[in-house]
Amino acid sequence: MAQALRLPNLGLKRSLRRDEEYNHRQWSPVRSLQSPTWLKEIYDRISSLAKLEENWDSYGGLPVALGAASMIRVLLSNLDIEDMPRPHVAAIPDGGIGLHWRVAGRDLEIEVEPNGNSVHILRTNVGGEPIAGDVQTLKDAQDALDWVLGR
Amino acid sequence: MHQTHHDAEDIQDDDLLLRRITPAQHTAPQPDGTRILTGFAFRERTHEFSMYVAKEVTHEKVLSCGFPTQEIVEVRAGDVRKLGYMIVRDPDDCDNSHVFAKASIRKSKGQIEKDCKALAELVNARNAGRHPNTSQ
Repeated sequence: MAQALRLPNLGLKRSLRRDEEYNHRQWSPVRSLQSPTWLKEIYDRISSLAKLEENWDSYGGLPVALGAASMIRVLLSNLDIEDMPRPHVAAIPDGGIGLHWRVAGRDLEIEVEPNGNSVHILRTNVGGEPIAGDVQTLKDAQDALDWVLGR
Repeated sequence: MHQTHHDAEDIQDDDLLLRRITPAQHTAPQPDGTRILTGFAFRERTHEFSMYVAKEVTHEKVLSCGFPTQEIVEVRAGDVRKLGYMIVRDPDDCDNSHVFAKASIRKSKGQIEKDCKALAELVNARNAGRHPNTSQ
């Protein structure tokens, strides 16, 4: 039986499900005009990571869970990523998913838990100590992206 | 059932430990064409990462127990210990040289993520021929 997908409230501009306000309209909001060229490729990769076989890493790793895949799409859809370089997307053995950027010595990993309910960030100035944090709002994630771009 | 783990005293700090990685997941391509290791490379479901003692096994043997696309990275036993882990002997189906890192004290998931990242950066620094604490 299908289970409802629970998502944390990150102050999202829109949810995965179509908002009621859009239900009576005959159009959908268009966002793709401002999307980076790599976004579709990344969405495709996220889908492929959900199809990994168990033990894909030879250490018993799980495929990316539905909740994690959904949440990472929500994040990418709601963050200002137009100027971001293409991230590296990785499966995490517990069923989570991670994004990685490194720009000019600033390294950022964003990790979504398998159920999609928690998002963590890890910032590292290359050569320095990693700094971990939780993402409570979209602004936290946006601040991390801005940091990696040095803005 | 509680199980007590012991740090393997016969594994010296300078001994190298081998870990299989999956490059498509664990290495990130850079604009200059190189690839760097990410902290995800040391993550496991159990939060304790598997390795093999390099002086007791060949790269080929370790790779033969994984998948054809996998590669090996090396970490110093002393670097793993410095982060607060014991190196526990745990012979497995692949080889008797198998060990796993076990946190000496309880660590949060966030702390383990930081440790995995720190190990990945040590590997990257070694591959780049420099120590991470001397570069900016």
